[in-house]
Amino acid sequence: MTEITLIAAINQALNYEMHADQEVVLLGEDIGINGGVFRATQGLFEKFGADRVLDTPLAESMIAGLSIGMAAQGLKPVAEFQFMGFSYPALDQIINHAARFRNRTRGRLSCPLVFRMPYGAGIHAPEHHSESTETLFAHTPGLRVVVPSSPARAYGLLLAAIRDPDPVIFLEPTRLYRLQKQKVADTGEALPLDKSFLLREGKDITLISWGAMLHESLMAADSLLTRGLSADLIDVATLKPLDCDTLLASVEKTGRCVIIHEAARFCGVGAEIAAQLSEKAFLSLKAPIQRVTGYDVTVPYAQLEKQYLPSLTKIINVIDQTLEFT
Amino acid sequence: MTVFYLPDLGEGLPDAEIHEWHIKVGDVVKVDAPMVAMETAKAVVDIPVPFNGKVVKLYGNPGDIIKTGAALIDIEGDNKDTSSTDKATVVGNLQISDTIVEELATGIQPSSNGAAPAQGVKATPSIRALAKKMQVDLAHCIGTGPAGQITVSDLENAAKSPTKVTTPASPLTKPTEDYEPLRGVRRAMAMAMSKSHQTVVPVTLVDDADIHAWPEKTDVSLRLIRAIMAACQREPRLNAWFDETHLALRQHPHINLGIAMDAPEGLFVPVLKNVGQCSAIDLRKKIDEFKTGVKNRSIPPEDLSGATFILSNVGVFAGRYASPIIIPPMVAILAVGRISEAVVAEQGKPAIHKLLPLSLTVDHRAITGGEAARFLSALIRDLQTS
Repeated sequence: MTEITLIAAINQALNYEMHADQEVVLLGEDIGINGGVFRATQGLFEKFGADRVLDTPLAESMIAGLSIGMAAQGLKPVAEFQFMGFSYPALDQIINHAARFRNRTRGRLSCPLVFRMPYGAGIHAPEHHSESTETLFAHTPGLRVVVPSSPARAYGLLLAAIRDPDPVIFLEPTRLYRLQKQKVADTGEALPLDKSFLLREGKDITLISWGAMLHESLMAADSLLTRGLSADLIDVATLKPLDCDTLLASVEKTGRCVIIHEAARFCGVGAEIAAQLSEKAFLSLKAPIQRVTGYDVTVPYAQLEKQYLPSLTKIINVIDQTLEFT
Repeated sequence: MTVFYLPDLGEGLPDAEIHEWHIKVGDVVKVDAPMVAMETAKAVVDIPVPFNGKVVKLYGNPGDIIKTGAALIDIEGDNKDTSSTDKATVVGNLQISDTIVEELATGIQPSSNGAAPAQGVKATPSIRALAKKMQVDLAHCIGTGPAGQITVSDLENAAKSPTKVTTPASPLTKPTEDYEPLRGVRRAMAMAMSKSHQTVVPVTLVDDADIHAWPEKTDVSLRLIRAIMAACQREPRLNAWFDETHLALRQHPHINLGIAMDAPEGLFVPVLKNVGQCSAIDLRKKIDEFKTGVKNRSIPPEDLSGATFILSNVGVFAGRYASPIIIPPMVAILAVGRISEAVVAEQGKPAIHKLLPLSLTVDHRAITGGEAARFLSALIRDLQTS
């Protein structure tokens, strides 16, 4: 068992499942000969050939439509959009068709596909390349939305996403692609798609995050230890359907909750989590549930990226505000 | 540009105060050069420059308190990552690192479902606000409302009962303008003393040691250390730490003796590690070093922690007996008062002897009265030999 990056874990999961299941097909822009914009599919074209690793034209709507057709007829396509911001031309296909196949055919057809999308800011990329619009997908009935935040979870969750009988939006935090390593066993073992993960256990406050913001959230949780405080830190991992039981158990224990996400604040998934927790944990709350988020603006270019993203300092300040309620 | 955050300076305290900047905005700085002196609860600690570059911003002035983990300085550095041949993306710039993710095992296994941990107080925000106003601790209320929630009448009942507890203000909130916040050593003292008062159940025993038999120019401190060692041998439970959460006692094989020292900035307690292994000369040297160290604020943090027993010499100025305060998790402290001459009975006749007044406080949660008395008796017996 070796220590690998998140991008290598994605590659490993794709490789494993293509060996294990002949129905798995990859498609996307430059994913074949080139190996993908971030090299997620590197080496797979050589191994599995042009019939199973398809380089497509630059037409996201077509990539989505093609995937839906394949899925409806028994294949298991895993399509890559180079960046989340490029998925918007395909929204019609995703929302109007992929998400509704099961409902429209009254369960006769499902749509077992995965749309992989590198997402998030912090890598000094141009416009459209730093989006974190998971809300669009989480708001759409019929889609699962999954965000891994470590190599091991990327491996296990991607396998689960490919094996799931319904469409899964799989968001890969670009900032974490090569930022850290973790031991990953290439055993083909999937993780559940309806569970959140407890990364730190504590008693004074619950921190909830997903994707690349887990990086800063972990530092915030650890910095509390130096002050004699401790936090439960939860990686939501699957945004839809939400594992509210895990979040609720933690907040009922700590009475305090801060949600950290890089997506814009308004109608961000954090708002939904805060609403559910205030309904269900109302009697346990010692402080208002607070959010540390991006701003309600288009994600800025490289120079202002740091100001846009929730920083460790911002997270700690909001934690302190929450702790001030006695 | 890279932000450097204040690291934990090794004492587990929430923040540190900027004592002095050794650099200013615009300076080109080299790694490891002196950057800033930070005042923590007990010492002034120098933080070196973390990487080469040019100083862009300082996040505070001398006197400002910076929280651990908060931004301290911006340095525009040459710490750009060395680009590999494959930049791993055609767009943007991925940060590459070999850092290993450290998470709980549950980070790979899904969290268990259903079995919620023990739930705390159930109360609406309005009830919580009212409880604060009435100075009632919700933990002492019994909820009689739906699903066990606390009602207004539960609060009223609790307010009448003797277990009413005032909640102290959170140290994170700011005082009003006409109050000067305590800083550094004084702040640490306030927090340690409050904690002691809230938790320890102290009982103080006083007596005198007749030191008539001592030769001229006896080193009082060294004699006291020797006597404490003898007394700890008789009653080892006093050289221990008490874990109040689990009601457990940890006896220490060695004595790390904290020496309480007064300074204009507040109370310092440097620690003589494993006094049983030190010669008299070493001990005297170390005590003198501590005295200078307290004056210059140069005692390293590791010399200020780990005490298992404290000796406080209160009698330098005035005072014969005291009720010294235990610092948890320790369970005992000895205070020594001013030596004075007194008339004592010697073989049926009055005689004038020197007496050394002793005040021993123990935590009655962990130590019995008998143990305290036997400890004091062994202490006196050792002190009264020549």
